[in-house]
Parts: sequence; C-alpha cells; structure tokens
Amino acid sequence: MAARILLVDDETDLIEVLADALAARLPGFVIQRASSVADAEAAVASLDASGTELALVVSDHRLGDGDGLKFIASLRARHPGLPAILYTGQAGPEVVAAASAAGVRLLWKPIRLATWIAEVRAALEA
Amino acid sequence: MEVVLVAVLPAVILTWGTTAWGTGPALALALALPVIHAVWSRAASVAPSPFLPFVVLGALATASVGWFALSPVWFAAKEALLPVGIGLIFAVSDAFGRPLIVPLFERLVELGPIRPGLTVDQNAKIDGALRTLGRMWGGAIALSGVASGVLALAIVHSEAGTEAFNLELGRHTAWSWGVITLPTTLVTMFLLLRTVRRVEAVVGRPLT
Repeated sequence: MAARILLVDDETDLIEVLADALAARLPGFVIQRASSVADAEAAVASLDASGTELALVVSDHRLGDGDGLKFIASLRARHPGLPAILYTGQAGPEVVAAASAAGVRLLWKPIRLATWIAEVRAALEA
Repeated sequence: MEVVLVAVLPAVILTWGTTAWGTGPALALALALPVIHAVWSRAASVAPSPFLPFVVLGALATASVGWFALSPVWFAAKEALLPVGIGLIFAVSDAFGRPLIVPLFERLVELGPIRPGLTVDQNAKIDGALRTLGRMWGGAIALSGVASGVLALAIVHSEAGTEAFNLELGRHTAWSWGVITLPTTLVTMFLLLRTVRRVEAVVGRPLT
C-alpha cells in the first residue's frame, strides 16, 4: 500500500491546494487530509491499524482544537524519526525553540507553492 | 461564423428549405451544420472542445425526434435536458472536489506555470474564484436549457417529421439564438472577464 503524507490544517481551502499540488508531483504517495488534531489522530490510528506507512506529517501550528507542534510530538512518540514540517504565520520564540529542539522543520507563512513542494521533497528524501 | 453556422443557416434552411427540398433533407442539412461547426472547431483548435459531444448528441436527438416522428414534447425535453445535464456535471464535479471549470478555464489562461510562484493562500483564492465561476456558469447553462425547453413548448407544436414541424424548428432556432444563446454568451463572457480580473488581482499582474 502506498505510503501516506498527512496534511493537517483547519483551513480546508489551503489544504486542498497543497494536497492537489503534492498529489500531482508525488504520485508514489497518497495524500491524507485532516482538518483538526482529532481528525489527524483518527487518521493515524486508521493507518496504524492497517499497517500503512506514514512517510511525512505536515501541519499548521494553530489548529482549531489544538497545537500542531504538540500533535507532531505525540505522533513522534509512536513513530520515532517521522519526518515532520510545521508551518505558521505567527509564533513566539518558544515555538521556534521547541520545533528546533524536536528537529521539526519550521516554515513561515506566506509560503510559495514551489517552496512547499521543495520542502516536502527534501523532508521525504532526508 | 459560429452564429451563421449554428443559428442563422439552420433557421433559414428549416424555414425555406423544407418547401424546396422536402422535410427530411432540410432537417438533415440544418442539423448537420452545428455538427460540422463543432468538428471544424475541434480540428482548428489545439485542444478538443469539451462541449463537442453535447453538440453532436443534441443534433442527433433533434434528428431522432424528426425522423421517428416523436411528440414535439420530446424536442422540448431534449432542449432542456442537455444544458441542464451540463450544469449538473459542473455541480457534481465541484461537489467531488474536481471542478470541471478548472481545466476549462486553464484552456483559456494557462495557470500551471504561474501557480508554483504564488503562495498557497493565493492559489486557494484563485481556486475559489474558479469555483465561483463554475457554479455561476453551470447555473447559467442550466437556466438556458430550461428557457430553451419552455421556448420549444411555446413554439413547436406540430407533429415531428412534418413540414410544419421543420418550420417551427426554424423559428425556435432563430428565437432561441436571440433570447437564449446570445444572452447566455454575454453572461459567460462577463463571468470569464470578471474571473480573469479576480485572478489578475490575486497574481498582482495582468495575465497574458
């Protein structure tokens, strides 16, 4: 079964753009969308149950029902070494420090689509 | 050229040709013209028109009503159902997250090379503008179908396959061009121009 890239963002318009762009350029992966931490947790549980590989998680920092960085941290407790990208438009130095300490790539919005694709490719190849 | 082949000539042929050449030949020639136009458009353009199958299907359906002498109500139904079907295809493709309007619009304006240089938010705004265009254009097409069906019910009463039927078909073609096709075309042009302006506002420069 094709490995998954999990996209987590509560702005569904943005996630559709990202998912379409990634699906067109990375045909070997299935793009899984989640609009909240709860959705993302359910998606991961389903992938784990089916034994499907999760190759990368890409998440917004501020989500309606939680914190993207905390979600990534909790996910990594179960999937050590899972590549992760966190993006945000606004975050304090504590978030920057925490992301850096956890080895999570932090991107600042606005982000060009080409940059997105390049960052995702780099994370998958790392 | 399009107006002449799709509206004027068929109307003239159906009105005057029926008496001169008989019902069958006049109907066949009048219906062949939109098909010839659609095929010619396809041959002349780089990409095939997505509406070509509907033009051919519409002409075949009208011919069937004439040749099999079906009730004129079938002609009205055909006039309404094809455009309503196209409108539904727009709606369904939108509902399933693959709006048909996106590839259609990108036949006019190539957005592929522009998109990677834009931010994700800008891309989302463009997609939003295209979806609005798709909903409004699909609605306009569906509405034109309903109007055409109503016009057909008002004009075409005679038994199909008769000289009177062909004459009424000619009147319907002429009227529908004036009161349906032309306004729908103008609405379409307005919607397309408005969308191009919106996309240009997002991109921050004119689209070439």
